[in-house]
Amino acid sequence: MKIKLIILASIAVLASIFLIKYFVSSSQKSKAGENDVTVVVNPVSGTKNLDEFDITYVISSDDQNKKINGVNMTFTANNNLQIISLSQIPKTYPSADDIFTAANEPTINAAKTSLNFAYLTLRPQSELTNSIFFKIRVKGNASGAGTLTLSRVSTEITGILNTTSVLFGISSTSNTDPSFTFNSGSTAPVINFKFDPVTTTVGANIDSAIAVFKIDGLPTGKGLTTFEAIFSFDKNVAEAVNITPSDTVVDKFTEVHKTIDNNIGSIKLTYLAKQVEGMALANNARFDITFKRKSTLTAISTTNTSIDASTATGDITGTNYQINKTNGQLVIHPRTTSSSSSSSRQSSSSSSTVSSSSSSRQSSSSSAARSSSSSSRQSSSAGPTPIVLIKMKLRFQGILTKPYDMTPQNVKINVVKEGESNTGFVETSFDPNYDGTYKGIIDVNPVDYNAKYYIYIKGPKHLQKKFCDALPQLNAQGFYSCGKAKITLHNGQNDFDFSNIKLLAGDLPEQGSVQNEMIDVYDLGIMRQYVPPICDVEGKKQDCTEAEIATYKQPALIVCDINMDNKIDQQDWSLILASMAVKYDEK
Amino acid sequence: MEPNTEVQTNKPSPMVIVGGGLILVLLVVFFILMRKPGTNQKIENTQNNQQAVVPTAKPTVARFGKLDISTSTANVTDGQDVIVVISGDSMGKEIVGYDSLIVYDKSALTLQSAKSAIVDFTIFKFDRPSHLSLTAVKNLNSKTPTVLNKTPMVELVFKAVKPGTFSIVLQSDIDKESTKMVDEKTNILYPNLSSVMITVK
Repeated sequence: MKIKLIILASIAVLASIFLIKYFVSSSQKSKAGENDVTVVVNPVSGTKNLDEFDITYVISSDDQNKKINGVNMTFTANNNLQIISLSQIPKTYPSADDIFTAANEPTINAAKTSLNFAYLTLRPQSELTNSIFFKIRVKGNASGAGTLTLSRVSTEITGILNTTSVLFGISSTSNTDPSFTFNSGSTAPVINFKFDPVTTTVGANIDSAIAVFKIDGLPTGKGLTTFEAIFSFDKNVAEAVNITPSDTVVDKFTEVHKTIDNNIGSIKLTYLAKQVEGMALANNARFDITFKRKSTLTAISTTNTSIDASTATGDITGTNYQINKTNGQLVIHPRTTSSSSSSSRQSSSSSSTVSSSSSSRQSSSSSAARSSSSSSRQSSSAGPTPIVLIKMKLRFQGILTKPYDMTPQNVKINVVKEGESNTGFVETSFDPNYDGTYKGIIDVNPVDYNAKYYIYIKGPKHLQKKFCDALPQLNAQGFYSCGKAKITLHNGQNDFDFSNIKLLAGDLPEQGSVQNEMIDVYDLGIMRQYVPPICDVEGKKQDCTEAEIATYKQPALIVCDINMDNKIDQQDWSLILASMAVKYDEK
Repeated sequence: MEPNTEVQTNKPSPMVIVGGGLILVLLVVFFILMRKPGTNQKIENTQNNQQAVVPTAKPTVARFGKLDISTSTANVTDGQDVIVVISGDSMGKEIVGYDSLIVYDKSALTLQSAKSAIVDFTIFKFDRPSHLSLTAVKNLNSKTPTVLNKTPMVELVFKAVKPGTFSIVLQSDIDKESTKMVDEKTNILYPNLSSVMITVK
């Protein structure tokens, strides 16, 4: 009897605790969805091809007092959908503040059918928001249907309501399971056929200008086997007088067509990759096309340099590359009546780059202008601003010969007049040469021809270097230190060879290619993370298949492969440590 | 009577069985309900409440872990060495490197040396106009775990050159530099920071 009483008493106590707990939790949590938040998914449906795309999730509450401070989400991909990554970690919405840190790193299973992650913030309540968002990258792996399902059972969305921590529910009206229909359409990579820069100007005081046509944007490791581009332009305002292919084109391709027809205003470029055993295919091409103003021109005229037809094939699975075309524009100014504003230096550089059809009249008129060249003359000229081009040759640390990865590199350039501050930059693409140097060209305006200039250069993974000399040299101690500005600029093309000075690597790009002007522990940490063993599956470094390594390497190579040898290894690690002797951008 | 007793002992009454089962069910339900979101690799929600009422030194950055600066030579005479140790607490995270900004009165204290107290870390020091900047990274081939738990990380030796009372401060950020740690996945952790006072006679 005693035992029975004890059992009944225990049941009573436990039942009481249960009831208390139930009432407390129900008062906090589920009063008809009082603590629910809304989840909006975009896109929530649609027809897609088999390429990767992002699905955006916005978690929000209409009640400003509901502050979200953490999420723990589990997703499952069904049928023909694959999860690629958490492409955007949770951030505040819409301000996109990066306030969350990973409590549980994004984890995708080997079959790419489930994703789990947890992020939280320790910020005070006053800094929390009632809306956050994140993005999940997915792709279809076969034609048919596919769905991404949010597991509501194992999902947690936490926050603070007034001063109480709460576990938010998801409103019953939220459609959290986007579904798609996948086509078996082309998944060929998209590459670029482009004029870069888009606009090329033939100034009033010069006869010609160079339009740069580029092919780039190929996936890493892929190349070109053939390409053809046909352009048109207005034959009444300009004529094409010369086409200079880049070293890459000359070395890697056989020329089939490189023809100009000024009677109809057309250019045709057709190239076929050379069949040389063991030679890697080119992954870019560049042509400098010199356009000359028609002498009959009496007013400013503009013509498109349209890419009318284009094809490219390569070592890709399936069909040809898809081509993203960027047409150019040619702005032609008529010659002014006075010829005195053309400088002598311009004529010398022009004659080296423009074909022999550049007239001798140009050089004679420019020599007449030599003595009178001045900035006041430039500013008082009623005509358009002359073109000043700066062509540079650079060397990146660790690249001593032709790089394995011939991808052009984006470089930030700032040309600063002596006495002025270094603010802003232009970013342009530098193409690799076969001696390991890189070359690129920018135009600058306006220019004071009497002033001295500094040129600041910052590579995509590099510390900024300041140059004062047109041909800088290392001193006896092996350093180059910029002192007083000695660089002068003239009309036309200015050639500077900075390749005796290495641009030190180490300021690696973060999200969005942002660099923070120094080598800090983030740069060292990310490099350290990717030095072999390179494959890291679900947090454990282990042996991997070639395919896994290739997948894993792509984003890391862009950031960490300093010497462009298509691998991240001890050499890259040694290079970044060597750069720690400097650490900061040169100001 | 004895056989009866044995029967009762070996076969409990149905009420006891039902009662026991009920207790078991209630215990399971109770256990499930008492689980909080913070357990089992889930979000540690309780920290948010603490943070909500105690703003961090730099409220725009979420703080994680701590770098603590201390000295055993808080009172020295002019010309003596001041030895300062920076210790770290990474709250369970494996740390592979850190940046540290140390602000001090350069007219009163002269830096003599900066030495890593963790064997497998290489340290780089940069004497900036307004501060000392340290960057340290774990050696590539190190297999030693470096979860910091009040672990001494770096020893700084200054020489006192001027009488007075001076602070040595671990600064959160200066211009584009910041004090931070990174873990093996290159997650950036911004730790809570401290300072120390030195009296030179």
